[in-house]
Amino acid sequence: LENLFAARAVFGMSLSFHIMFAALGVVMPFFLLLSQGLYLRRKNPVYLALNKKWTTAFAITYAIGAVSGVVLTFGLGLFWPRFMDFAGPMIGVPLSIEVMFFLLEAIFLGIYLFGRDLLSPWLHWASAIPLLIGGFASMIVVILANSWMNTPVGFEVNEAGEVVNVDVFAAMFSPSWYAEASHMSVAAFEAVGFAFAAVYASGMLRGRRDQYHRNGLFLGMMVATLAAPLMIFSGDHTARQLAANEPAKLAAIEPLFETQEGAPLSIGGWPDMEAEEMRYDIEIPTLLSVLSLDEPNAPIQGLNEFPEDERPDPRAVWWAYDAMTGIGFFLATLIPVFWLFYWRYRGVPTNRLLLAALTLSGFLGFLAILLGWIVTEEGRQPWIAQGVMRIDEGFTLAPGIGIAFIGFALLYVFLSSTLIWLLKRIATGAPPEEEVEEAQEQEESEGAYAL
Amino acid sequence: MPFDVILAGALGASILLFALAGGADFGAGLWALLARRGERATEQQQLIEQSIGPLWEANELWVVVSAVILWSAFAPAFAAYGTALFIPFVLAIGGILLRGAFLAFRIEAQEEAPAAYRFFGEIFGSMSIITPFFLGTAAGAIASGRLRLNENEVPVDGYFQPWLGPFPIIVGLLGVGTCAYLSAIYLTIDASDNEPLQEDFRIRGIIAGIALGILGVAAIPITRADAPHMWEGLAPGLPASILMIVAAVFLGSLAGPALPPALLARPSRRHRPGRGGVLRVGRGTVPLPARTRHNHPGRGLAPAGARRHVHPHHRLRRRPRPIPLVTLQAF
Repeated sequence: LENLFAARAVFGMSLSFHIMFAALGVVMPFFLLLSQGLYLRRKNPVYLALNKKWTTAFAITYAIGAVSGVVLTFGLGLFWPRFMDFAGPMIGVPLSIEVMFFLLEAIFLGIYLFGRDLLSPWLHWASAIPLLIGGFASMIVVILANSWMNTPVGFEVNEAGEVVNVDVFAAMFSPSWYAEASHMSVAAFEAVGFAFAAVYASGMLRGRRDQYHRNGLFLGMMVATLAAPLMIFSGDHTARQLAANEPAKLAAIEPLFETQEGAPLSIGGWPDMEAEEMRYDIEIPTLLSVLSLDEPNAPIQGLNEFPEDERPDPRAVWWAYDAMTGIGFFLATLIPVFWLFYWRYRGVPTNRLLLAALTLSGFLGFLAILLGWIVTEEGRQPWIAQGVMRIDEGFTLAPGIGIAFIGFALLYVFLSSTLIWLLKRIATGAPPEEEVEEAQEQEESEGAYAL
Repeated sequence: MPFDVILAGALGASILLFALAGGADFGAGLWALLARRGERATEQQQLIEQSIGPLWEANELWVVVSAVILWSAFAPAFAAYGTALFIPFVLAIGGILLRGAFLAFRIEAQEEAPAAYRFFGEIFGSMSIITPFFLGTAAGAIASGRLRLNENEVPVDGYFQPWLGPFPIIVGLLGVGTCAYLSAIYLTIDASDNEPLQEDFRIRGIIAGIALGILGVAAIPITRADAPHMWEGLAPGLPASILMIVAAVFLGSLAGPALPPALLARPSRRHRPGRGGVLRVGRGTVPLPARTRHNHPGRGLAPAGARRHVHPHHRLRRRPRPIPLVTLQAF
């Protein structure tokens, strides 16, 4: 069992590492398009300076996203060979499609990075569109594979335990696909939007007041503002989806130990496993039933509906779920506050408390994404494919997974610290005034050529 | 044609494309690691970054394609490989992760953090050697037919023995050698606007080719002793042997005089314009250096005897033409 734990730890760690770069890889092309488009229309060199900085950062984060994705591709076979043996025919298809979008993205990344001086400005701008499409579509199809694990359909198991009659499309678009894919897409845009805002908010906290920082912060908040209201709808839809298709997960994240009509929404507290009840929590009567099924008296299945060895452990997920929703509400309230200040001060606000909150929001957004995935994955336990295959039937029998775990953990720590060091170096490498001046000069010389 | 054969063909093609495209990238890491001293070391490093910088992520695609075909079409096989060859695969993917990340770090560090540039390069370079070696040992273990799982899907021979034999190791070394060779050729073509730099990589190509030839010859007895299953598949195949010899002769004739190798060339020999071998492309009428560099085609596993067919033929040729760029690229 220790091996199972090590395999889960190493894979969870690899996924967590990858997912942050995946989110950046999906949303950063949007920021590139935005900043470069603004520059091309308004000829404000600040946007060009921002665009160049973001291109550099994107080159690095994309590379790490790509190689950590390769690790996962292999890792599925290395750590979960028996699961892949079983599930390969179903989840192999969306992952094959992902390869094509990866190719699209990789090719156009090369074009975008190295084509700035070779292509006409608008053509160069347009070469980031396939980047956005490739990244976004890759994310969706990978989530299709994950949603199959939560709601596996589109196949039959015969008496010999073999998978037969695979319906590829049904397996791809399993009942939970839309909720998961939309939730993650919105989350990625919100988290990365706040992360961009946070970079410039932290610069302003250190005393920078230039146009470069103001515009960077403004663009980050624009994207976050577009995403945050959608997140409320997406979160609501995801909860309904759980109630309909994954009742055990819903019961565990709440946690709800016994089936109840008019189930309350519980916040905080501590799940007492002995007594099978929540202690010290705040309960809002009937809210869970209202949110999940639109009816105050609707019954919600509790953990007692499931056999004891098929229950997810509420202690593994309830805190992650509460923290994720808490962060979501914190970020959602930050947005009107920011725009209120913006309106009041006629420009990007310089209130230190607000800037500090925005800096914090950059970390919280990514933290919420990780917490959300902990909810999805831990809430499905002990299944690796809900109701079909248990996780202890799927992991590798190879020994020494513990060593692999330590090795990979050191490797990720090493990579992350180098990356943070380098990104900080890039962010503060040249003073923004200089960058802007440089961009301005470049623009002038280009103008001279045009004349 | 049955569908599984088509899938197997697609798998073979994607592995081959990874070996070629990704291999050239990995070899470039090796040359970056070795470019330490000499007046052009920095230039060499920069050429390597410019050449593979825009491409390497797309080249990495083929290993993902291979893995995806394996797990969706040949799931039980992938499960067996993943179990029995867990260690080399984990080391290889660790290498892929580190080398890619540090290549990207390095390209950006040159301007932003020059002090770290060299250190990042060391990691990029050393990991570029580790990855093809361990992927090669895994391929060797699979090809030699020694992977056996018992009824509980546990490898009969443990987790080390399948890939720590002479044959998997020689395949791993051949993997590294092939990468180095491919990369040197690729960089020679890419350096066409910088004459001394091109010469550097031409020489590296020759050295890698010779090393690959030696390894290829050494692999023959090892295959016979350590991978009898594979040897049986190779040895009696007369058509295959003929095909190999024909291919070797063809490549050798493209490559120009194969023997005597550069090491035996006498300084006193007059240089003959136009006789330079495979990597002299695009040089046009530029005079050769004082010593004629002879080339070695580096045919990998081609039988040693094939070379003899090439040798006298080319001795008789008075004025071999320089090789067109297209041919070279195809080669």
